[in-house]
Amino acid sequence: MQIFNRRVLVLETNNFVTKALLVRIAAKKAKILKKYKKVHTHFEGEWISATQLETMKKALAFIGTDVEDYVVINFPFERVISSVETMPNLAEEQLKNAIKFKMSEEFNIPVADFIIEVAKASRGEKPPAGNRHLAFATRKSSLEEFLSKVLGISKVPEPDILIPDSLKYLELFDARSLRESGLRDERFSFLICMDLNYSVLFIFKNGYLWNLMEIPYSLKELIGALAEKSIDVDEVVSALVEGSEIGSLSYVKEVQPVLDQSYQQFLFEAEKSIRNFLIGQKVQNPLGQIHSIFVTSLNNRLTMDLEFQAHQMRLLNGMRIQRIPLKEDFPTELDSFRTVLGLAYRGVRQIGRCKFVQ
Amino acid sequence: MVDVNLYSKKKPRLKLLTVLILTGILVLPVAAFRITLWSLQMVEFNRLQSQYPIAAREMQSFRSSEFAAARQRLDQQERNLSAMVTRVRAETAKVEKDLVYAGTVQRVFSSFSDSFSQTGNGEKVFLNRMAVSRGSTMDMSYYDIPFAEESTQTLSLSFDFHQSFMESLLKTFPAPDADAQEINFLFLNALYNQLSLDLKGM
Repeated sequence: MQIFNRRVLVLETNNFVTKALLVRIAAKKAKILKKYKKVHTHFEGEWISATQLETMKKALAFIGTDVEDYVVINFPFERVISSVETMPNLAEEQLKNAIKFKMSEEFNIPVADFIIEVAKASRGEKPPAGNRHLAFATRKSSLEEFLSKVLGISKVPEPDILIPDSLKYLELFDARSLRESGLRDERFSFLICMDLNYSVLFIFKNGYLWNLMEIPYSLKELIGALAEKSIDVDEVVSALVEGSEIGSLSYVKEVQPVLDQSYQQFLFEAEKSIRNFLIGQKVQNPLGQIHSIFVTSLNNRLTMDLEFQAHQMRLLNGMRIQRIPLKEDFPTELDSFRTVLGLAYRGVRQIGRCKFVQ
Repeated sequence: MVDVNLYSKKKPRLKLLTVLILTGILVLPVAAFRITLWSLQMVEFNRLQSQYPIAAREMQSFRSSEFAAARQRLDQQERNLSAMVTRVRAETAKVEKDLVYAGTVQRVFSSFSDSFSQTGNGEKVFLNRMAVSRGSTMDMSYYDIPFAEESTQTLSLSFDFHQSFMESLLKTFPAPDADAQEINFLFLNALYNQLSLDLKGM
């Protein structure tokens, strides 16, 4: 709860990098006071590594916490399942329970070990018409394990918002301009998103998030391939996270083919997911149902590389890849903090309408 | 876009400094009011001191703690005075009533005496009964016997005393209860009058 000192503490963590931001809100302006970023690739396959927890602790020590901070943390997307359920008109709690029971049956997880959250339209936005409900769920045991480690070991303050990691990307784009630019269409629009631990395909229709699917290829596979080539993985991951020019690395000749191959493999998997989705819709001329394709990733550099590769390999029969517009107040000089900024936008949005300023 | 929060159990907490500031904000107007009031009192006190220098010495020696006791004393005195005024008012009313009563009875006797003085040469009056019951009635009965004419030795039929007395009484008692009876026997002509005067309300 904040009365005088309005701050948002944002923490993003995964197996490869930990980022933190401290945002101060005053007079409807959000200003980034402190930022922290640390790449850490050494892990033994746990979904929350000891290095990760230690780095979070250091990040918080650097940022400095306050008991009244509004805390936003990402929850690993690998531990989140999503589903679209059609339900009759029900009260919020009844709807939640109904979806919980249905998903519990579908995924064969006991109801008692299931935590579910039905996606709601953001404040001030009109909810989509119809009875389709997009729900996110996780195991209660996973959530408790994550919180006990993060709160207990890393001493992270109790979160106000625990957001499935993939949703941070949606916060970066201006929903209004997206709708005006043509997303409000009966056809589908696809946002292909490549992250470090996972990749996700967002599907839009009529200007609203229609569904999301996991793409079974991510930067983790690329890092694994690089590790086999006795290359300094930390350096490459740092370059990827920072959005630096790969050509600056001394062993670029060895790295570049692996990168190209990984990007192509990722885009191929994305195309498969899109085609499978469209086939599932049982419509004639599935590719005619595509309104637009967007690609995004950790930063602008990686996004441009993916766009280039998509053009090169004529993704979806050479369909034009469009550039999705970032929010007007997006601080471009902090492009390497793009993902954690998505979480920051989520926290700031919860407090009030504020513009990011430099 | 969409709002999803997998953990919504956090309870809002405030740090001590915020609580102190909030408390300060709540207390500040009260404190400011008291200080303003005190300042105004001091300004007014100083003005009175400069305007009334002699009284100022008394004002300075006056202790506010004595105010309550002094006020209680004044209240008690006011109550005593009020009771005394009530008592004196009742006594005055009683005395007034007695004076009126005495005056009325006095007027009855005066009327009787005056009427007798005026007509005493030609008539004899025998007071048969007189009883005064204070606050109730005054009863009296008398015989009025006129003398016979010496020259003619005839009975006089005029009761001058009675007429004079009744006329005089009517000035004080507008409706006296009188029962006058004439008695004629041989050479005696008399008038017996039973009179009852209402003294209630006096």
